[in-house]
Amino acid sequence: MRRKLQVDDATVLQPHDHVMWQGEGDGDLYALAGGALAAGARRGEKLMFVAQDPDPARLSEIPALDRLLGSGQLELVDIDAVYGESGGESGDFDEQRQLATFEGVLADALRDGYTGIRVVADNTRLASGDEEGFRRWLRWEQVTDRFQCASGVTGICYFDRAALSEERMADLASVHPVRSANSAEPVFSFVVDGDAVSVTGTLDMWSADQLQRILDATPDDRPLVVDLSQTEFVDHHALFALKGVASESRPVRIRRARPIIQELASLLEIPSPHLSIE
Amino acid sequence: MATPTRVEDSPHRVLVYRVEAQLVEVVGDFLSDALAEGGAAVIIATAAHLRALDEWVHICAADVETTAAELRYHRLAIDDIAASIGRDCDPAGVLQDKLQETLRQIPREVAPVHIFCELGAALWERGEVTAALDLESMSNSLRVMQPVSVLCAYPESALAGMAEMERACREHTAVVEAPSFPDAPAEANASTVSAAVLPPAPAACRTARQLVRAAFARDGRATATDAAELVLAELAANAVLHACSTFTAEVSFCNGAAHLAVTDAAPLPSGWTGFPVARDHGLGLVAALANDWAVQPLKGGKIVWADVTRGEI
Repeated sequence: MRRKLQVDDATVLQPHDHVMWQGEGDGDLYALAGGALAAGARRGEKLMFVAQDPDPARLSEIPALDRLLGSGQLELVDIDAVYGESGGESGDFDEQRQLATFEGVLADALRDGYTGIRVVADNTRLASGDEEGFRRWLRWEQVTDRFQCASGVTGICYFDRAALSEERMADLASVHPVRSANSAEPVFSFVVDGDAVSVTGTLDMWSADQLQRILDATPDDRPLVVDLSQTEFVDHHALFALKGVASESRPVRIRRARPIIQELASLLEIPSPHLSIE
Repeated sequence: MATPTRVEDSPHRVLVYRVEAQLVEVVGDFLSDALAEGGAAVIIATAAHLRALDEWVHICAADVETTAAELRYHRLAIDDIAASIGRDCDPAGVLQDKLQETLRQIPREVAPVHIFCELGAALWERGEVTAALDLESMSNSLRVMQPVSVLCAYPESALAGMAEMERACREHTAVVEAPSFPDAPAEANASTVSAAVLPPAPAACRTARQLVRAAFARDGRATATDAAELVLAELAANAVLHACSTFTAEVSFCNGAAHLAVTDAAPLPSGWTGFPVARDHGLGLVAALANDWAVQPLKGGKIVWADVTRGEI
């Protein structure tokens, strides 16, 4: 089972962790990067730091920084080079192209003898666009969550809480299995675990809008398998939302639902040709 | 919809209440206001009221453990204070010492400081009226010495008639009007296992669900937890969303069923003939999952209840 937790120390992060780290300003970003990248170096990982004009002088706490930079183990990458000059804001962000890029970086790293890759990225600007831009970013978060679940990647997404609304921070927290200790506990989490999306927490009337936003951004290139075994509570609003996104091209399978959820679904005639409850 | 009653910063006020929900709402808001402003709250109350106020404050203002760690949330149980009042001791003196000790712990920059105290009511109920009045005088002295706002509460049942009520109120600078809340129905179940007074906030629905978990865990035999949780959550959500009032949530076991009830302060409209019970709406699900359910009008509000029987209860 994939680990889901809050941490206050960036050095304990490990492969498969997809992290939402919240802070305020560049100081917090560079403090995170220093600790997380130094830990990755000790693990023998290929390291990437993605930020606006990344400044190596502010990473001086990383031991043997010059050697890491000189050998190419650590790459400092401007955010525009990774996500395009618009930073995804204008809707030209292509998650499949982005995924292919990271898959290539991982393959190269493993070929070069590294144990995996570790990316610390300031994603604040990418999550700051308009509604459609944010929906695309939420989709990317779910695409990369699946990639990181299945591979030796430690992905650490930094968000400046001063630049993002509480609603967006809550949505982002829900799609990251690991979060910094200073972030509020999400009402529910919606993260990849094995071949399913594992949901924890509460899906009810009050979290229905948030669930809808996340489902609207869920990749539709394959069936959506939702494991409800770890939920605290699920009511009919969640079942209707799942039914609403089920289609012939993207069927929904609800797995390991408690008997009451199955009974509820039956009462509401939720099962359909495109939504099954196992 | 009930008009929310807020106790503004004021030296020494008193609430005379008829039902517990009135006390919890007024005092809970009084304490929450202080904490939400970055101030401190001190509660001197019965164990039951301490628990109820913890719940309210937790939902409305702040995590009580965090604020306690910040020395901004202090709880003193009346039983503990009573235990330290010896035969020849003056209750007002003992309370003053306890309060001063507590106030010294609050960081100097923290303000406002709101104090709720029902020790006077406890003394009055025990017939120690003079001691209760001395205690109220002490509170008046305290607020002169320190910038604190004090709220006291007396149950109507403790005060024998209007004369005593006036006597108690005279010791205070203002009287807080109790918010409207219905009395429990005459046939109220005496075997309530789990209950809470909750604010009209989404987080209150989770607390209502936890009542079910706690009651079923205590009962040990019941196996219909999930169905009962779903039903009570729905009733609580309706109180939050539609009644928009303080509400009580109760779980009891009666005649082989889990009896789940939510009482709110929103009366049924005149000419009311029933709520819509579509299968895909909350009350439709309540009707489908419960053996029996009903809406019962009360003076100043209503109670919605459902009986759930699954497995062995």
